[in-house]
Amino acid sequence: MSKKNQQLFETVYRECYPMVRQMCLGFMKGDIDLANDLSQEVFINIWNALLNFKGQSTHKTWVYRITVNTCLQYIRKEKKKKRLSIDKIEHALVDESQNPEPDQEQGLYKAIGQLEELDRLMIMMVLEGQNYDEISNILGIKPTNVRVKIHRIKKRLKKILDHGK
Amino acid sequence: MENEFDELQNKWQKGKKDIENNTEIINETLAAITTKKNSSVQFHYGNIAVLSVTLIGIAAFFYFLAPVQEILSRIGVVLMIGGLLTRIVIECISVSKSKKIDIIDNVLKTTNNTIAFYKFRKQIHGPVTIIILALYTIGFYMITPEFSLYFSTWKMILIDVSYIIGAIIFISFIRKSIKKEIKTLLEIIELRNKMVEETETVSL
Repeated sequence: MSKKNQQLFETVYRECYPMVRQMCLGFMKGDIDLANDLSQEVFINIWNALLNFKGQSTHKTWVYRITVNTCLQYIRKEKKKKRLSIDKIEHALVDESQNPEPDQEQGLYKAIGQLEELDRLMIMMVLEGQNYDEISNILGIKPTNVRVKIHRIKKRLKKILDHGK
Repeated sequence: MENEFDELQNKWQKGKKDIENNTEIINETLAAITTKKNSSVQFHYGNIAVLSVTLIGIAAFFYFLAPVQEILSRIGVVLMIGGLLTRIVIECISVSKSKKIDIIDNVLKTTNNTIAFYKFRKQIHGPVTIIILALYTIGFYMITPEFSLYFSTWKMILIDVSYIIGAIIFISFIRKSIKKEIKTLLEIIELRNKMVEETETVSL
Protein backbone atom coordinates (compact mmCIF):
# COMPACT_ATOMS: atom_id res chain seq x y z
CA MET A 1 0.00 0.00 0.00
CA SER A 2 1.35 3.41 -0.96
CA LYS A 3 2.02 6.06 1.67
CA LYS A 4 -0.88 8.11 0.31
CA ASN A 5 -3.31 5.22 0.75
CA GLN A 6 -1.92 4.46 4.17
CA GLN A 7 -2.58 8.05 5.17
CA LEU A 8 -6.07 7.82 3.70
CA PHE A 9 -6.67 4.62 5.67
CA GLU A 10 -5.55 6.27 8.90
CA THR A 11 -7.83 9.25 8.24
CA VAL A 12 -10.82 6.95 7.57
CA TYR A 13 -9.87 4.87 10.60
CA ARG A 14 -9.68 7.79 13.01
CA GLU A 15 -12.88 9.31 11.63
CA CYS A 16 -14.93 6.11 11.60
CA TYR A 17 -13.51 3.97 14.43
CA PRO A 18 -15.99 5.13 17.12
CA MET A 19 -18.94 4.46 14.78
CA VAL A 20 -17.62 1.05 13.68
CA ARG A 21 -16.77 -0.07 17.23
CA GLN A 22 -20.10 1.10 18.56
CA MET A 23 -21.93 -0.84 15.82
CA CYS A 24 -19.79 -3.92 16.48
CA LEU A 25 -20.56 -3.68 20.20
CA GLY A 26 -24.27 -3.47 19.46
CA PHE A 27 -24.10 -6.31 16.96
CA MET A 28 -22.16 -8.52 19.39
CA LYS A 29 -24.58 -7.67 22.22
CA GLY A 30 -21.97 -5.72 24.18
CA ASP A 31 -19.25 -8.40 24.22
CA ILE A 32 -16.02 -6.41 24.16
CA ASP A 33 -13.69 -9.18 22.94
CA LEU A 34 -15.94 -10.14 20.05
CA ALA A 35 -16.56 -6.47 19.22
CA ASN A 36 -12.80 -5.78 19.15
CA ASP A 37 -12.21 -8.74 16.88
CA LEU A 38 -15.05 -7.72 14.60
CA SER A 39 -13.90 -4.06 14.47
CA GLN A 40 -10.45 -5.24 13.41
CA GLU A 41 -12.01 -7.42 10.70
CA VAL A 42 -14.04 -4.45 9.43
CA PHE A 43 -10.95 -2.26 9.16
CA ILE A 44 -8.90 -4.99 7.49
CA ASN A 45 -11.70 -5.20 4.89
CA ILE A 46 -11.67 -1.40 4.56
CA TRP A 47 -7.90 -1.53 4.08
CA ASN A 48 -8.25 -4.24 1.40
CA ALA A 49 -11.03 -2.34 -0.38
CA LEU A 50 -9.39 1.06 -0.23
CA LEU A 51 -7.78 0.69 -3.65
CA ASN A 52 -11.23 0.07 -5.18
CA PHE A 53 -12.84 3.14 -3.64
CA LYS A 54 -14.03 5.11 -6.64
CA GLY A 55 -15.75 7.93 -4.80
CA GLN A 56 -19.19 6.98 -6.19
CA SER A 57 -20.55 7.22 -2.66
CA THR A 58 -19.29 9.11 0.38
CA HIS A 59 -16.60 7.60 2.58
CA LYS A 60 -19.17 7.11 5.30
CA THR A 61 -21.68 5.21 3.14
CA TRP A 62 -18.81 3.06 1.90
CA VAL A 63 -17.64 2.32 5.46
CA TYR A 64 -21.22 1.52 6.53
CA ARG A 65 -21.60 -0.96 3.67
CA ILE A 66 -18.36 -2.72 4.61
CA THR A 67 -19.33 -2.69 8.29
CA VAL A 68 -22.79 -4.19 7.70
CA ASN A 69 -21.51 -6.80 5.22
CA THR A 70 -18.61 -7.76 7.50
CA CYS A 71 -20.92 -8.12 10.52
CA LEU A 72 -23.26 -10.42 8.58
CA GLN A 73 -20.36 -12.50 7.26
CA TYR A 74 -18.55 -12.56 10.62
CA ILE A 75 -21.37 -14.12 12.60
CA ARG A 76 -21.52 -17.03 10.15
CA LYS A 77 -17.76 -17.40 10.06
CA GLU A 78 -17.61 -17.45 13.85
CA LYS A 79 -20.38 -20.05 13.97
CA LYS A 80 -18.36 -22.23 11.64
CA LYS A 81 -15.00 -21.64 13.32
CA LYS A 82 -15.90 -22.06 16.94
CA ARG A 83 -19.03 -24.15 16.36
CA LEU A 84 -20.82 -21.95 18.84
CA SER A 85 -24.53 -22.19 18.86
CA ILE A 86 -26.57 -19.01 19.20
CA ASP A 87 -27.46 -20.12 22.73
CA LYS A 88 -23.81 -20.39 23.69
CA ILE A 89 -23.03 -16.97 22.21
CA GLU A 90 -25.91 -15.46 24.12
CA HIS A 91 -24.75 -17.17 27.28
CA ALA A 92 -21.23 -15.81 26.76
CA LEU A 93 -22.51 -12.36 25.98
CA VAL A 94 -24.51 -11.94 29.15
CA ASP A 95 -21.41 -12.57 31.24
CA GLU A 96 -21.26 -9.28 33.12
CA SER A 97 -17.70 -9.80 34.31
CA GLN A 98 -16.38 -9.42 30.78
CA ASN A 99 -18.19 -6.18 30.18
CA PRO A 100 -16.68 -3.14 31.79
CA GLU A 101 -18.87 -0.85 29.63
CA PRO A 102 -21.25 1.41 31.57
CA ASP A 103 -24.47 -0.36 32.63
CA GLN A 104 -26.75 1.97 30.66
CA GLU A 105 -24.98 1.24 27.40
CA GLN A 106 -24.74 -2.47 28.19
CA GLY A 107 -28.51 -2.53 28.62
CA LEU A 108 -28.94 -0.88 25.25
CA TYR A 109 -26.50 -3.27 23.55
CA LYS A 110 -28.27 -6.26 25.09
CA ALA A 111 -31.70 -4.96 24.04
CA ILE A 112 -30.41 -4.42 20.49
CA GLY A 113 -28.84 -7.87 20.67
CA GLN A 114 -32.28 -9.43 21.07
CA LEU A 115 -33.27 -8.22 17.62
CA GLU A 116 -32.56 -10.24 14.49
CA GLU A 117 -29.17 -9.73 12.82
CA LEU A 118 -30.30 -7.38 10.05
CA ASP A 119 -32.72 -5.52 12.34
CA ARG A 120 -29.85 -4.91 14.77
CA LEU A 121 -27.77 -3.31 12.06
CA MET A 122 -30.66 -1.22 10.74
CA ILE A 123 -31.61 0.23 14.12
CA MET A 124 -27.97 1.02 14.86
CA MET A 125 -27.74 3.00 11.64
CA VAL A 126 -30.80 4.97 12.75
CA LEU A 127 -29.20 5.55 16.17
CA GLU A 128 -26.12 6.74 14.29
CA GLY A 129 -28.30 9.38 12.63
CA GLN A 130 -28.45 7.90 9.13
CA ASN A 131 -31.60 8.82 7.20
CA TYR A 132 -33.82 6.36 5.31
CA ASP A 133 -32.29 7.19 1.91
CA GLU A 134 -28.79 6.55 3.18
CA ILE A 135 -29.83 3.29 4.83
CA SER A 136 -31.62 2.28 1.63
CA ASN A 137 -28.42 2.99 -0.31
CA ILE A 138 -26.36 0.88 2.10
CA LEU A 139 -28.77 -2.06 2.09
CA GLY A 140 -29.88 -1.91 -1.55
CA ILE A 141 -33.61 -1.91 -0.71
CA LYS A 142 -36.27 0.76 -1.30
CA PRO A 143 -36.52 3.70 1.16
CA THR A 144 -40.22 2.90 1.69
CA ASN A 145 -39.24 -0.62 2.65
CA VAL A 146 -36.61 0.79 5.03
CA ARG A 147 -39.23 3.04 6.64
CA VAL A 148 -41.68 0.17 7.20
CA LYS A 149 -38.98 -2.07 8.61
CA ILE A 150 -37.55 0.57 10.93
CA HIS A 151 -40.99 1.41 12.28
CA ARG A 152 -41.46 -2.26 13.12
CA ILE A 153 -37.99 -2.58 14.65
CA LYS A 154 -38.55 0.48 16.86
CA LYS A 155 -41.77 -1.05 18.16
CA ARG A 156 -40.00 -4.35 18.85
CA LEU A 157 -37.11 -2.57 20.59
CA LYS A 158 -39.53 -0.61 22.76
CA LYS A 159 -41.25 -3.86 23.74
CA ILE A 160 -37.88 -5.40 24.64
CA LEU A 161 -36.88 -2.40 26.74
CA ASP A 162 -40.27 -2.27 28.48
CA HIS A 163 -40.57 -5.96 29.21
CA GLY A 164 -36.97 -7.12 28.96
CA LYS A 165 -37.99 -9.63 26.26
CA MET B 1 -42.30 6.40 21.20
CA GLU B 2 -40.21 9.11 19.50
CA ASN B 3 -39.20 10.66 22.86
CA GLU B 4 -38.08 7.30 24.13
CA PHE B 5 -36.16 6.76 20.93
CA ASP B 6 -34.44 10.14 21.32
CA GLU B 7 -33.38 9.01 24.75
CA LEU B 8 -31.89 5.83 23.28
CA GLN B 9 -30.14 7.90 20.63
CA ASN B 10 -28.61 10.09 23.37
CA LYS B 11 -27.37 6.99 25.19
CA TRP B 12 -25.94 5.70 21.92
CA GLN B 13 -24.17 8.97 21.16
CA LYS B 14 -22.79 9.09 24.71
CA GLY B 15 -21.33 5.62 24.23
CA LYS B 16 -19.73 6.79 21.00
CA LYS B 17 -18.24 9.83 22.73
CA ASP B 18 -16.70 7.50 25.34
CA ILE B 19 -15.02 5.54 22.55
CA GLU B 20 -13.88 8.76 20.82
CA ASN B 21 -12.20 9.89 24.05
CA ASN B 22 -10.45 6.57 24.59
CA THR B 23 -7.37 7.27 22.47
CA GLU B 24 -5.57 4.31 24.01
CA ILE B 25 -7.95 1.74 22.52
CA ILE B 26 -8.00 3.62 19.19
CA ASN B 27 -4.20 3.40 18.92
CA GLU B 28 -4.07 -0.18 20.23
CA THR B 29 -6.61 -1.34 17.67
CA LEU B 30 -4.78 0.41 14.84
CA ALA B 31 -1.57 -1.41 15.84
CA ALA B 32 -3.47 -4.73 16.03
CA ILE B 33 -5.00 -4.17 12.58
CA THR B 34 -1.59 -3.41 11.08
CA THR B 35 -0.07 -6.58 12.60
CA LYS B 36 -3.02 -8.75 11.60
CA LYS B 37 -3.03 -7.36 8.06
CA ASN B 38 0.69 -7.94 7.59
CA SER B 39 0.62 -11.49 8.88
CA SER B 40 -2.69 -12.51 7.36
CA VAL B 41 -2.58 -15.96 5.87
CA GLN B 42 -4.47 -16.70 2.69
CA PHE B 43 -6.68 -19.45 4.08
CA HIS B 44 -8.37 -19.73 0.69
CA TYR B 45 -5.25 -21.33 -0.69
CA GLY B 46 -5.04 -23.93 2.12
CA ASN B 47 -7.10 -26.58 0.31
CA ILE B 48 -5.25 -25.98 -2.94
CA ALA B 49 -1.89 -26.38 -1.16
CA VAL B 50 -2.92 -29.67 0.52
CA LEU B 51 -4.33 -31.09 -2.72
CA SER B 52 -1.25 -30.00 -4.70
CA VAL B 53 1.14 -31.65 -2.22
CA THR B 54 -0.94 -34.87 -2.42
CA LEU B 55 -0.85 -34.69 -6.22
CA ILE B 56 2.93 -34.20 -6.28
CA GLY B 57 3.34 -37.06 -3.77
CA ILE B 58 1.25 -39.50 -5.83
CA ALA B 59 2.85 -38.45 -9.13
CA ALA B 60 6.35 -38.84 -7.62
CA PHE B 61 5.40 -42.25 -6.17
CA PHE B 62 4.29 -43.59 -9.56
CA TYR B 63 7.16 -41.97 -11.42
CA PHE B 64 10.11 -42.79 -9.15
CA LEU B 65 9.07 -45.64 -6.82
CA ALA B 66 6.42 -47.67 -8.60
CA PRO B 67 6.35 -47.01 -12.34
CA VAL B 68 3.47 -49.28 -13.37
CA GLN B 69 3.77 -51.23 -16.65
CA GLU B 70 0.29 -52.58 -17.44
CA ILE B 71 -2.13 -50.48 -19.53
CA LEU B 72 -4.91 -51.05 -16.97
CA SER B 73 -2.65 -49.73 -14.19
CA ARG B 74 -1.61 -46.72 -16.26
CA ILE B 75 -5.26 -45.83 -16.87
CA GLY B 76 -5.74 -46.17 -13.11
CA VAL B 77 -2.89 -43.74 -12.43
CA VAL B 78 -4.35 -41.28 -14.95
CA LEU B 79 -7.76 -41.51 -13.22
CA MET B 80 -6.23 -40.91 -9.78
CA ILE B 81 -4.03 -38.01 -10.85
CA GLY B 82 -6.70 -36.60 -13.19
CA GLY B 83 -9.27 -36.64 -10.40
CA LEU B 84 -6.99 -34.73 -8.07
CA LEU B 85 -6.04 -32.27 -10.80
CA THR B 86 -9.73 -31.62 -11.57
CA ARG B 87 -10.39 -31.00 -7.87
CA ILE B 88 -7.50 -28.49 -7.74
CA VAL B 89 -8.87 -26.63 -10.79
CA ILE B 90 -12.34 -26.50 -9.19
CA GLU B 91 -10.84 -25.22 -5.94
CA CYS B 92 -9.06 -22.43 -7.91
CA ILE B 93 -12.40 -21.48 -9.55
CA SER B 94 -13.97 -21.44 -6.09
CA VAL B 95 -11.30 -19.03 -4.79
CA SER B 96 -11.82 -16.74 -7.79
CA LYS B 97 -15.62 -16.83 -7.22
CA SER B 98 -15.23 -16.01 -3.53
CA LYS B 99 -13.10 -13.00 -4.46
CA LYS B 100 -15.92 -11.71 -6.62
CA ILE B 101 -18.07 -11.20 -3.51
CA ASP B 102 -17.40 -7.53 -3.08
CA ILE B 103 -18.29 -6.21 0.35
CA ILE B 104 -18.33 -2.65 -0.91
CA ASP B 105 -21.52 -3.51 -2.83
CA ASN B 106 -24.84 -2.89 -1.12
CA VAL B 107 -25.96 -5.57 1.33
CA LEU B 108 -28.60 -7.09 -0.96
CA LYS B 109 -26.13 -7.48 -3.83
CA THR B 110 -23.46 -8.93 -1.53
CA THR B 111 -26.03 -11.34 -0.09
CA ASN B 112 -27.08 -12.47 -3.58
CA ASN B 113 -23.44 -12.98 -4.59
CA THR B 114 -22.80 -14.95 -1.40
CA ILE B 115 -25.81 -17.17 -2.15
CA ALA B 116 -24.46 -17.83 -5.69
CA PHE B 117 -21.06 -18.73 -4.19
CA TYR B 118 -22.52 -21.16 -1.64
CA LYS B 119 -24.69 -22.79 -4.31
CA PHE B 120 -21.49 -23.38 -6.29
CA ARG B 121 -19.76 -24.76 -3.16
CA LYS B 122 -22.72 -27.08 -2.56
CA GLN B 123 -22.28 -28.45 -6.08
CA ILE B 124 -18.54 -29.02 -5.78
CA HIS B 125 -18.76 -30.50 -2.31
CA GLY B 126 -21.60 -32.73 -3.39
CA PRO B 127 -21.94 -34.42 -6.81
CA VAL B 128 -18.61 -33.25 -8.26
CA THR B 129 -16.48 -34.43 -5.34
CA ILE B 130 -18.35 -37.75 -5.18
CA ILE B 131 -17.71 -38.35 -8.91
CA ILE B 132 -14.03 -37.45 -8.47
CA LEU B 133 -13.77 -39.78 -5.46
CA ALA B 134 -15.47 -42.57 -7.43
CA LEU B 135 -13.02 -42.13 -10.35
CA TYR B 136 -10.10 -42.04 -7.91
CA THR B 137 -11.31 -45.28 -6.29
CA ILE B 138 -11.79 -46.98 -9.67
CA GLY B 139 -8.27 -45.83 -10.60
CA PHE B 140 -6.89 -47.23 -7.35
CA TYR B 141 -8.48 -50.64 -7.87
CA MET B 142 -7.25 -50.72 -11.48
CA ILE B 143 -3.69 -50.56 -10.16
CA THR B 144 -4.11 -53.27 -7.52
CA PRO B 145 -3.88 -56.28 -9.92
CA GLU B 146 -0.37 -55.20 -10.96
CA PHE B 147 0.55 -54.38 -7.34
CA SER B 148 -0.51 -57.87 -6.31
CA LEU B 149 2.35 -59.23 -8.44
CA TYR B 150 4.86 -57.52 -6.14
CA PHE B 151 3.10 -57.62 -2.75
CA SER B 152 2.02 -60.57 -0.64
CA THR B 153 -1.72 -61.25 -0.22
CA TRP B 154 -1.60 -59.92 3.36
CA LYS B 155 0.01 -56.69 2.27
CA MET B 156 -2.59 -56.30 -0.46
CA ILE B 157 -5.38 -56.82 2.07
CA LEU B 158 -3.73 -54.21 4.28
CA ILE B 159 -3.52 -51.73 1.36
CA ASP B 160 -7.16 -52.34 0.38
CA VAL B 161 -8.48 -52.07 3.93
CA SER B 162 -6.49 -48.90 4.64
CA TYR B 163 -7.87 -47.38 1.43
CA ILE B 164 -11.44 -48.23 2.48
CA ILE B 165 -10.88 -46.71 5.96
CA GLY B 166 -9.36 -43.59 4.36
CA ALA B 167 -12.33 -43.32 1.98
CA ILE B 168 -14.82 -43.65 4.85
CA ILE B 169 -13.05 -40.87 6.80
CA PHE B 170 -12.97 -38.68 3.68
CA ILE B 171 -16.65 -39.28 2.88
CA SER B 172 -17.71 -38.43 6.45
CA PHE B 173 -15.61 -35.26 6.23
CA ILE B 174 -17.35 -34.32 2.95
CA ARG B 175 -20.78 -35.01 4.47
CA LYS B 176 -19.96 -32.74 7.40
CA SER B 177 -18.75 -29.98 5.05
CA ILE B 178 -21.89 -30.30 2.92
CA LYS B 179 -24.14 -30.07 5.99
CA LYS B 180 -22.31 -26.96 7.23
CA GLU B 181 -22.40 -25.22 3.88
CA ILE B 182 -26.08 -26.04 3.31
CA LYS B 183 -26.87 -24.60 6.75
CA THR B 184 -24.96 -21.42 5.88
CA LEU B 185 -26.68 -21.26 2.50
CA LEU B 186 -30.13 -21.56 4.08
CA GLU B 187 -29.31 -18.83 6.60
CA ILE B 188 -28.20 -16.44 3.87
CA ILE B 189 -31.26 -17.25 1.74
CA GLU B 190 -33.44 -16.54 4.78
CA LEU B 191 -31.69 -13.20 5.28
CA ARG B 192 -32.18 -12.28 1.62
CA ASN B 193 -35.85 -13.32 1.78
CA LYS B 194 -36.41 -11.10 4.78
CA MET B 195 -34.99 -8.14 2.88
CA VAL B 196 -36.99 -8.86 -0.28
CA GLU B 197 -40.20 -9.87 1.53
CA GLU B 198 -40.61 -6.36 2.93
CA THR B 199 -40.29 -4.84 -0.54
CA GLU B 200 -43.17 -7.02 -1.72
CA THR B 201 -45.30 -6.05 1.29
CA VAL B 202 -44.75 -2.36 0.61
CA SER B 203 -45.46 -2.59 -3.11
CA LEU B 204 -48.82 -4.30 -2.51
